[in-house]
Amino acid sequence: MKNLKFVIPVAFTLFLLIFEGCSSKPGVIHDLSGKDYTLVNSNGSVVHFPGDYKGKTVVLGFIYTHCPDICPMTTHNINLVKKELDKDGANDVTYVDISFDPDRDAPDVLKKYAEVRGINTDQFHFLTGNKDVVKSLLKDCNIYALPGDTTVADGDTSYFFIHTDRISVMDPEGKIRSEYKGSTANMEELIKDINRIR
Amino acid sequence: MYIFLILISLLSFSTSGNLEVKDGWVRPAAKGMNTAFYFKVENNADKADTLLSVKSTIAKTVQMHETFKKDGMMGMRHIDAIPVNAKSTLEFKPGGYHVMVMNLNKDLMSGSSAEFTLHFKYFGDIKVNAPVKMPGE
Repeated sequence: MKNLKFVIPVAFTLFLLIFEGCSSKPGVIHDLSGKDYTLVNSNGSVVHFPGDYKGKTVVLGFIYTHCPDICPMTTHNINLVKKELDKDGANDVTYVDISFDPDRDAPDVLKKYAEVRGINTDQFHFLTGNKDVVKSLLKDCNIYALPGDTTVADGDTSYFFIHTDRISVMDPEGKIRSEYKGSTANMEELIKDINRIR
Repeated sequence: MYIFLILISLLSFSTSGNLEVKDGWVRPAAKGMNTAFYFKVENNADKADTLLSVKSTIAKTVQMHETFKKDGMMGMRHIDAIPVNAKSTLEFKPGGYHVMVMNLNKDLMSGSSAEFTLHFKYFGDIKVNAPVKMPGE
């Protein structure tokens, strides 16, 4: 009987810890809720980020379309998450890729990038914008993209970035609450976290 | 469509003596953009070889590259030649070695295919007809 005095509080504490771990939202990593980045989507329409996504959980990737290896994996992984959550009718989740190469990633370039991958841009948005605005957004999300490897072939020069490999999940208020390696994100973990955040 | 994909997959398996190139695939991409070609080289011989270059007419430039991680960021660098040890498999895969296909001549859509020629120091040329697809397709 004496033992119960200890067992009950310990069991209750364990229950709270497990419940907390399974159901509560992860802490805020970057708070974008008070920000307003004016961007443009692949249709050429102005988008106020993150304000226009208020009320939606956003699965957010950072890419550039000239990337042949890492960024297409990030886009692919977000699309896999979308396909999985679409099965559950998750209308409160939306999907966004933001380009960190606005010099080359014009809206029509982003549109084509999505099109060849069979992605419907009404449901998975691709954003670009003014270079300074994009730079400010990247800084606030702790994303780095530095022009790196330059390949010269047949007189043509093409530059590539050394960049952060990231998928983030932003809550309906505009607060980023979880981050993953974009190209190798664990789908189960990502979906589990989205369901905790939404 | 499935029969076509199976035929393409069979064609993507190429052999030259004791050295085989298999499981080749290319990621879809738009005209003027870049993509990557992935595959495995199985060297069943007792002798090491070296992959010296990869060529294709589908793009203006084709080069071997390697993705690397530095200070938590990802980048790429050009590789001139890649050794293939005896009795070993060399894999070109996302996040590692890949063939950079730059400035495509046309849209590369899922369900189509693209031809590449791999040039080895000893085994010479091996042609591969790789399906265009998304990973996992």
